[in-house]
Amino acid sequence: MDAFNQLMTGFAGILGWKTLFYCFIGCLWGTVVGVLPGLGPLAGMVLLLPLTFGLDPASAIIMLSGIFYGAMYGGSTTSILVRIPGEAASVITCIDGYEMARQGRAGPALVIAAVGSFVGGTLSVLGLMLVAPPLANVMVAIGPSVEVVLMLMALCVITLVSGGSRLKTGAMIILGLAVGTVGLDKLTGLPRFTFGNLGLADGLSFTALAIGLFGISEILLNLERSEAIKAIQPKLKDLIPRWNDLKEATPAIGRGSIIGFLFGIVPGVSHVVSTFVSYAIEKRFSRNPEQFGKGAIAGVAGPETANNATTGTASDPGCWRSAFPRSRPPRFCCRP
Amino acid sequence: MYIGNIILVILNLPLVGIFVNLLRIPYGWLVPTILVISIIGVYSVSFKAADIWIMIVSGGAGYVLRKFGYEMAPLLLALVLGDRLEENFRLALTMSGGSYATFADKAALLVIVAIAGLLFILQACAWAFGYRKSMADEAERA
Repeated sequence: MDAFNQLMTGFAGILGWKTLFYCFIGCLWGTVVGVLPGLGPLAGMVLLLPLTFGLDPASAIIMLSGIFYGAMYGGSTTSILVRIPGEAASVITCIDGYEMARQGRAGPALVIAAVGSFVGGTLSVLGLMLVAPPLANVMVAIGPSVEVVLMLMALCVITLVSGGSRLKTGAMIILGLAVGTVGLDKLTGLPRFTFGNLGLADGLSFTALAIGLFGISEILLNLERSEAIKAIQPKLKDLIPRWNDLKEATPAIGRGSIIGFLFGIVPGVSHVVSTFVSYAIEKRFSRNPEQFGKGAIAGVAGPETANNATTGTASDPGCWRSAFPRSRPPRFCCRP
Repeated sequence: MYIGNIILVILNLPLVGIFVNLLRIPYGWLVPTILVISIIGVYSVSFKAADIWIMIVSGGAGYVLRKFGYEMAPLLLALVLGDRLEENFRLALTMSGGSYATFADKAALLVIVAIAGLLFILQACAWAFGYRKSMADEAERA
């Protein structure tokens, strides 16, 4: 197969000591950046960008990719251990991952998140080679009306399967839709809800909102209790997940990969959306849905896998190509 | 990217303890550091001071909302989707010349609506089933 040959050529090109070294640095820095809340993969890449000016393109891209992946992993680490998401796409992992950590199962949560991310990334890259070109053409041909219905359905599904009061979830969704209208109107360019302020003209930045709503509010909630941030310490021997965990997590990982892969193909959709959808679907397909929110391992495995699986397909320039007919490049905030 | 994946799996699992120790720093040092890094991170996205204000205000709002028991995740989801939703909605209407029938035209749409309808029905069944079960339990206890 042509795709396989190209993959082998790619491997041959990058498996040198120099590129592996840069990849390692990128991964290390990326994990540190991902663990620290507030700095996402983007900030991590920006901070090391000057370093890449002196490198050849392959090493530079590999290092940046390493930072990106490392930040994804690090982000899930803080989500699970401290319930402060390292970056926007780890937000969903906070919910069940932290509960698992509180029950003393932080080790399995971290391992499953890591393994799920790995599997998701691998499967999505494989699937990308095989399936992406025809699928991308299909997405272009389908057109905006289907996307509208798809997104409306996604919103309704989220309302349906969310734990807690459905009315409150619905209210939050409506609030989110309302907040999303702030900024310049896409088709006419007229400012909406900017109150004459140029700073709001670009809309409310997603990163700012995500970090504020989750990170800052978490810090404020922690300040109420006069104890320290309870970062839960996983012991090394606890890292091995139990057989039950693996059995529960495996179908979740499978579904998460598929979801992430599909969402990566839809142009412009961010990793965050695929994690939400994966969580909703895991809850729907689980045999004990009341466990979600109290430490269901599928709630960690699915979203983390979907997260990385979206990365695989969303990074493909071919999928970006299908975004251009919409006369707008992929939105900055949809890429971390 | 794939190599990065492999390296990360090897790197991440044993070193988790070390990374976690980053978070054992005393609270008084940790929170300002997190705040400063968050502000740097947010600013580095678009280099606008308005973003920092948005972060602070939404932090306060998020705190209040969470105290009242609202979840933040749907808000973010709707934020991301709402933008695209509106744009595609207007595109669809423009392309169809203002006719709302375009949302019923393609077969794919009917499939999606059918799936959504199925989910609603399943949910209603589950709710009704649970209702009847709890009625049966009450009847048994009575």
